[in-house]
Amino acid sequence: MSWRIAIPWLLTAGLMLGGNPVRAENHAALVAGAQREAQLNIADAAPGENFTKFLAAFKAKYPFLDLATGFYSAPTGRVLARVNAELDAKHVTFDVMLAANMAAFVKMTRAGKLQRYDSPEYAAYPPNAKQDGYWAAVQAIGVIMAYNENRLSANDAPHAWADLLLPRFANRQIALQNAASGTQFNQIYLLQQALGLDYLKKLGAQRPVVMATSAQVTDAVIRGEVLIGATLDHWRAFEPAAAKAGLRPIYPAEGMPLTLAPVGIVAGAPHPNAAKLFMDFILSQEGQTLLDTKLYGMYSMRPDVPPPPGQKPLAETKPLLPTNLDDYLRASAQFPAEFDSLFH
Amino acid sequence: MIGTAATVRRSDVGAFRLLRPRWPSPERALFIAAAFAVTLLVAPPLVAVVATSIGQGAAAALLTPLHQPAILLNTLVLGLAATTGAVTIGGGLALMLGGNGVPGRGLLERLVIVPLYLTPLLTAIGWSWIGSPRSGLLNLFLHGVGLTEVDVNMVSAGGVVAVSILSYAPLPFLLISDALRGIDAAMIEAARVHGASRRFALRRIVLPLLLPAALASSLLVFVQAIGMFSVPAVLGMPSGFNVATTEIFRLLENYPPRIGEATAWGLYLLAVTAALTFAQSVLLGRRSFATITGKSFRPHVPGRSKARHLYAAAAWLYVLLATVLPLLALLWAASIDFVTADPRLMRLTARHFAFVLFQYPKTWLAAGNSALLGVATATLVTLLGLAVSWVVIRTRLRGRTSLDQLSMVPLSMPAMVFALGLLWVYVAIPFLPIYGTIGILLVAYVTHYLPFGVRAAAGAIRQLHPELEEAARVAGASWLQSMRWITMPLLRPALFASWILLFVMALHEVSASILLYTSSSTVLSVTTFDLWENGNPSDVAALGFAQLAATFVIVGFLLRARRRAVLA
Repeated sequence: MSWRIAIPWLLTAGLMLGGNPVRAENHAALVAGAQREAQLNIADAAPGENFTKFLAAFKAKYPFLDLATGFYSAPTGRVLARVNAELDAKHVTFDVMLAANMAAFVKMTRAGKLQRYDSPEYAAYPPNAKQDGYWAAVQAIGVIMAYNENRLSANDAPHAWADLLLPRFANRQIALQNAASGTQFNQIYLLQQALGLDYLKKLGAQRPVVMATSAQVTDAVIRGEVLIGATLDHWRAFEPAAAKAGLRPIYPAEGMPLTLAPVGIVAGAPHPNAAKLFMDFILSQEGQTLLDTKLYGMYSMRPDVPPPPGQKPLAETKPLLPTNLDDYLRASAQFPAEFDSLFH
Repeated sequence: MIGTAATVRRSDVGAFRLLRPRWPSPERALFIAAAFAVTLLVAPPLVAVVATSIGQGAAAALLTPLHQPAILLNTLVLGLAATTGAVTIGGGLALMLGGNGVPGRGLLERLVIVPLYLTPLLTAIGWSWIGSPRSGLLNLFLHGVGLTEVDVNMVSAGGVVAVSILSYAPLPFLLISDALRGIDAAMIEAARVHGASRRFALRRIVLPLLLPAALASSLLVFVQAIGMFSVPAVLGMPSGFNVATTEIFRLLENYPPRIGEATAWGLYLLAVTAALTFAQSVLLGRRSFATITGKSFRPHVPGRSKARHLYAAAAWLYVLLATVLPLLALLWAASIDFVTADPRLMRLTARHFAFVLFQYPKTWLAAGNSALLGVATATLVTLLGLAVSWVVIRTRLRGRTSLDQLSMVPLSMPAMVFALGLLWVYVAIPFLPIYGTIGILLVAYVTHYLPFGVRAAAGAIRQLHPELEEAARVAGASWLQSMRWITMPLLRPALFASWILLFVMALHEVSASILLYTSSSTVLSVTTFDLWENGNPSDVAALGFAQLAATFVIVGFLLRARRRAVLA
C-alpha cells in the first residue's frame, strides 16, 4: 500500500480512537480567550433562582469567569427590549441571551442581530428546535391544563382540549393567560393548527377568565377560583408546593403545545470566547440535564436527555410545534387582535 | 450723597458698560438651573419615545386609542372615579383628624397612610385573595357566618375603582393635612367673632384655602390612577375591564414591541394631564391662598368636636378597609404553608419569613439599594420640585408655564413607555457611564417622581404670602438670605411630608427598575416581582409584610420628627 493512501487512513483511525484533536484545540483556544475576557454577561428570561444554580455549575468549570456583574434576569419582553436597545444603540454589553420567544430569535437572526457560532452541540438538536449556528431551544415548556383535586375529581376533569367545551366548564371556570404571553400565543396558534379556528371560537364562547400572568393562573386554580387552568406551564404543576396544594396536571389527548426558549450569542458580544464556552455547555447533554431535568423540571429538545422525574417522556406527550416559520411569524404579529376577537 | 465725590468705575462708562458681565438675578439663575435640570431629565426620553414611534408609523398609530373606545372610556372613568373618591375620603379624613380631639389621632394618622407603603402589586394580589367571587376570604367568611346571600366581587371594574380609591386616599390626606396646619387660626377666629358657625367657617374659609392642596392631590391621584398597572391587571383584566396601561403592556410585550401604538396611548394620557394641569393653573392663577403672612401666625387647631367619636369611627372604618384587610391577607398568605382556600391544607409556618429574610440571596442587597435610592430620590426630587414650583409661582419669568408642563410629563406618560425611553437614551450615551449601574435607576426615579415633588411644593408655596420674602428683601436681605431664613423654615413641614411620601413611593417603582437594573443594583420591587413570577405567592407576601413593617417604623420616626418641626 502506498504511504499516500495509508497515512490518511491511519490518521483517521487515530482520531476516531483518540478523540478529536481539532475540537480539543478549538476548546483550548476558547478557554484561553475566555480567560483573557474574564467575564460573561447574560440576559436571561428563565424564571427564578434555578438559573443562578445553573450558572454556579458553569462557573465551577470556568472559575475565572465573572458571571454575576453583568447578569440580568427579567421576563422575556424586558429581556428582548433591553438587548435590542443595546443592539440599536451599538452599545452591546450582553454576550448571551435566553428568552422564551422563538419568533423573536428567528427575526433577530434574519436581522443579523445574533452572532454565528457553529457549536458541535447543535448536531444533537432536531431541525424544528434550532437555527444552526445561531440559536437552539434549551428549554421546552409544555402548555397543559391543570385542576385542583380538592375541587374536582379526576373523573370530572377534562382529558382533552375538546373537553374544555363541556357545559360544566362554561362561565368563568377556565383560566387563560393574556395576549402578551408568549405561552398563550403558542397555545392558541398550535391549537388552531391542530383543532381549527372553530374550536377556538367555541372555547371563547365558554367565557374563560383571562389573567395577567401564569402565576395568577396557578394561584386561581389552587385557591379554587377557577376549575381549570388551561394555559399552564407544565413544570409548574410538578412543583412540590403546587402538588401539595392539590394541583394536578392534564396532558391533553390531542397533544401538548410547546413553548421553546432559545439561547444565542448577541452580535457584537464583548466577550465572544466566554459566550461560546457557555453555548457549548448549555447545549451539551450535561448542561441540558442539569438545567432542565434537575433544576427546572422542563423538557429538553435533546433526545439523549431524560425527562424530569415524574414526567412523561416528551415523545409520549404528542408535542405540537410550528411547522411553517413564516406563518408562525405572521401569526405572532397579529396575535393580540386575534386573541381579543376570540376571548373578549 | 451731597459733597461726596461718587466713585466712577471704568465699567460704568460708555462702551465698557456693554462689556460688563451681566449676572442673572437669583430668580433667573434658579429658573435656568431648574429648567436645565428638568429638560435634561425629561426631554431626552420623551424625544426618544416620540422619535421611535414616528419611525414605526406614528401617524397611523395615533388613531389607535380611538379604535378602542371602550379602553379609553374605562381609563377616563377609572381616573375620574378614583380621583373623586380618593380626594373626598382623603380630604374628609384630613378634616376629621385635624384636631377635633379625635381619640387615637396620632395612631390613626399613621395607619391612614399605610396603603401608600404597600407595593401596588401586593395591593392587587392581596385584594384578589380577599375579594375573589368564588374563593375570596371575605366571601368565605361571610358565607361561613350565614350571610350566604352576600357576594363580594373585587375582581371587577368596581373592584379596581374601589381599591384605587382606598390606595390613593392617603395622598390627598397628606397634602391637605399639611395645608390645614398652615391655616392661621386668626382667620377662623375672626369669622367666629363675627357670628359665623363652625360649619360656615369650614365652608367659606377653610375649604377654599385648601383648594391648592386639593387640586394638587387631585392631579396626582388622577395621573396615578390612569397610569397604574398592577391593580387593573390583576383585578380588572379577568373581568374584561381593560385600561390603557394593560393595553400598553400587551403592545410592549410583543416582539418587536409596538412602540408607535403604545406611545399613542401615552400621548393621549399626556394630553388629558396637560389639560388638567392647565385647568388647575387657571383655577388657582389669580387668587391668593396665602395663609402664612407677615403677621403673627398660629396654626388653626379646632377644639374638641362633639362628633369626635364619629370621626374616629369613620377613620377606623377606612383603616379597616384600606389597611387591616390587605395586611391580614398578606399575613395569612405569609404564615401558611401555601396559599389555598381549603382549611384542611392550611398549616402555620414561619418558613416564608425565614426564607425571604435569611435565605433568599437578593433580599438584603435589594433592601439596601431601595433605601439608598429612596433617600436620594426623595432628597433630589424635593429640592428640584421646590425650585420648579418657586419659579412657577413666585416669578413672572417667561417660560415658567412650559417648565411646569414639562415637569408633569413623566407622570402623564405611562411608566412602561417612559422606561423604554430612558433605556434608549442612556444605552446610547457611552460617555455617561451610568447605564448598567444604580445611577441610571436614580435618574429614572428622579424623573418619574419629579411631578410629585413639584405639586407638593406648589401647594405649600401658595400658602406663603409673598410679603414675607418682600419684607426680608426690603430690610436688606439677599434673595438667598430670605430663602434661607424666611421661606425654607416655613416650608419645612410641607417639604418633610413631601420627602416622606417620595421616599415611600420610590420603594414601589418597578417599571423602570425591572428594565434597567442589574444584579448589583436590584431593588425590592424587582425582587417582589421575581418571586411572584416564579409562583411563590407566600414568599411574596412575607417579603411584602417585612418591607411594610420596616417602612412603617421608618416613617413613624420621620413623622415624629416632622411634628417637632411644625411645633418649632
